[in-house]
Amino acid sequence: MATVSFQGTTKRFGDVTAVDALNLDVEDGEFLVLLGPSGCGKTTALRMVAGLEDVSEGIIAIDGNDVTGLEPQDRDVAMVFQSYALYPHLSVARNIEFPLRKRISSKEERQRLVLDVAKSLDLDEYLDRKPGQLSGGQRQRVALARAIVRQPAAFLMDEPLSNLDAKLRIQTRAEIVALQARLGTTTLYVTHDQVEAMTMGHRIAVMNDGILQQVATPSELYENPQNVFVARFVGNPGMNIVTGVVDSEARSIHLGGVDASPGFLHDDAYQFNGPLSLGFRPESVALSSTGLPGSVSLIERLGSEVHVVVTIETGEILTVRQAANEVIPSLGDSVHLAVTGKVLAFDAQTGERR
Amino acid sequence: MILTPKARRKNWGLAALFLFPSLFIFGVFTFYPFFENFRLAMFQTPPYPGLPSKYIGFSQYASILSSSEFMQSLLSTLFFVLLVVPTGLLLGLALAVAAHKALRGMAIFRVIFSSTVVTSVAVGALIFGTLMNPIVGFLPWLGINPNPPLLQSPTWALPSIAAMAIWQFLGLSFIVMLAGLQSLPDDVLEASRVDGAGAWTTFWRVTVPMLSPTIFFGLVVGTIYAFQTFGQIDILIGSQNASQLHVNVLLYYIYQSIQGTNPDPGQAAVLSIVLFVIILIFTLLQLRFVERRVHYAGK
Repeated sequence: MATVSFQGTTKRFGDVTAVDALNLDVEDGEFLVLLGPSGCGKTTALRMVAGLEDVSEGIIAIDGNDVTGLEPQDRDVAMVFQSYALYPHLSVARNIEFPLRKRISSKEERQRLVLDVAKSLDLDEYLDRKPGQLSGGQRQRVALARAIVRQPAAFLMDEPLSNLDAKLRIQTRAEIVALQARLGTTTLYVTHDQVEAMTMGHRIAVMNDGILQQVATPSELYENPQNVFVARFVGNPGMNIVTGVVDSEARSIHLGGVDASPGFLHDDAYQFNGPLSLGFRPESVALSSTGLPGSVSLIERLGSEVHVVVTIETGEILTVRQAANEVIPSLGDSVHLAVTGKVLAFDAQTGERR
Repeated sequence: MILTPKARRKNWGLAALFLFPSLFIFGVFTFYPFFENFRLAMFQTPPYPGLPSKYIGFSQYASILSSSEFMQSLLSTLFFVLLVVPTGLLLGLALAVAAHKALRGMAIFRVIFSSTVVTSVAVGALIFGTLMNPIVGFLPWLGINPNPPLLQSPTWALPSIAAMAIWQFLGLSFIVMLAGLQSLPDDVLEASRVDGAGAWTTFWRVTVPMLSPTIFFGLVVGTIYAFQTFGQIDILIGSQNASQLHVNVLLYYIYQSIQGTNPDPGQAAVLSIVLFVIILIFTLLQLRFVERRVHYAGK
């Protein structure tokens, strides 16, 4: 077990900066999720920890030791790849044993460890099979077994669930969380799926365009996003954002020059003055008889709840989360929206939280 | 789709039309000579030109296959194949590993390494002939003057020809190996490095097993290539000295049988069939035994 830290770590590919001066500390035993859209630099950051990508500037430290110049085999980390990256010519047993070959000379000891790990992941029936003869879920478990068998300082996981079907993904998600809790091994987990991040991570580090946006616990990230990007990216659907001018003394909000204050009932909305981006979660806004006028442009029924997507007069698109048993409007209906819950204020220019 | 008899006839006619060119070419240049060869092998050519050949059946096989000249030719051939194929494959793999690295300017080396594929045997033979020339060659320049010269020595003539055949085979071997290397998934090789294997272990335990279908293909193609070497011997040694310098490999022996003033098509036909059978057996043996150790993806 160990800490992992990025200290001003930068990676450039030619003129493109994939990871820009990243400062991030993963605590000992922590499950930290790197979350962001594709191309945000999260996988590059993970690969730099593994030693598979050179660092352009700054350092990577594992357990306080600078490992920036070390080869992957000298870093004592284990990685689970998106494609699983199993050795196709070796049996399941030999795949799991592979990382032990250099570390443990006794063959009996190696076999005992392989069997223990295989049993704990329900793989003991498949030890003689080749990866090509396994299902996606089984391959995934072999990749996990190969990572945990050597008890590394840290696990690095690169979207390990993205090749599984939806049901298996949810099941494996819980298994990985339980496994990490049992082993207590520091884990750095990369995903673009915010539900995965929210359900798995002790903390989540959100990245965009190579820049770290915010590091926080899942609930903190949801409640208090530091900028518009995080507000929109975290949550499903993301936070609603409208841009307008607020006058706190007059208690007015103008959206597109029209007074919209009847739509904002919560005092939060009037804390700051000037041009602002106002953010509120889909559950903080409701269909109402007065408020922001708009028309229904999409209805998504998810069973227990319904997402009503409304285009307001400024052209901005807002989502309302409704319980399925409430009155649901029809497509194209003219409606009014009232923001009843918490409103967050962001700088209209920079998008940073006020 | 159900067709009316008329439409079916039309389809057949069209198929025959499209097939005709390739059937014609294969028929004239492959199938007819192939079967004609079996017929020729049954006839003994008389020792004087102009006399009609005589049907003697399979007894011609016995007399040729038991001759000392055939045995010497067969041994030379096997030795030659043994020299050329493993060396050519290993060097091709080594060059491919070197050229696989994404370094600046590597494209030029890839072109150079694969260039022997488009170099004709005649040009290659002239280059090697010059290099090995006892007066103006590379060896005298290095101060090495073997006596007799390499290409006139019964010991060194065959290895010298093999060196040239290896060089000529290297282009194909390199291209095949490089294509194989480039098709390997990067993440498996990366997994091996993260799992604690150094470059050497990764190469032998991961790269080579995953490359085994490619190596196997190279082995089969290389063996067939080596068995059919002809031009190098004809240009560098020539028919006069081939047998005394032990370079009359089977294909060259076949050629010797039908050239000159008293050609012996019967003997040439028997030897061709023998060469055909040997290559067939080698290929089948490789398919049967070597392929067991080949790991195809997804199996």
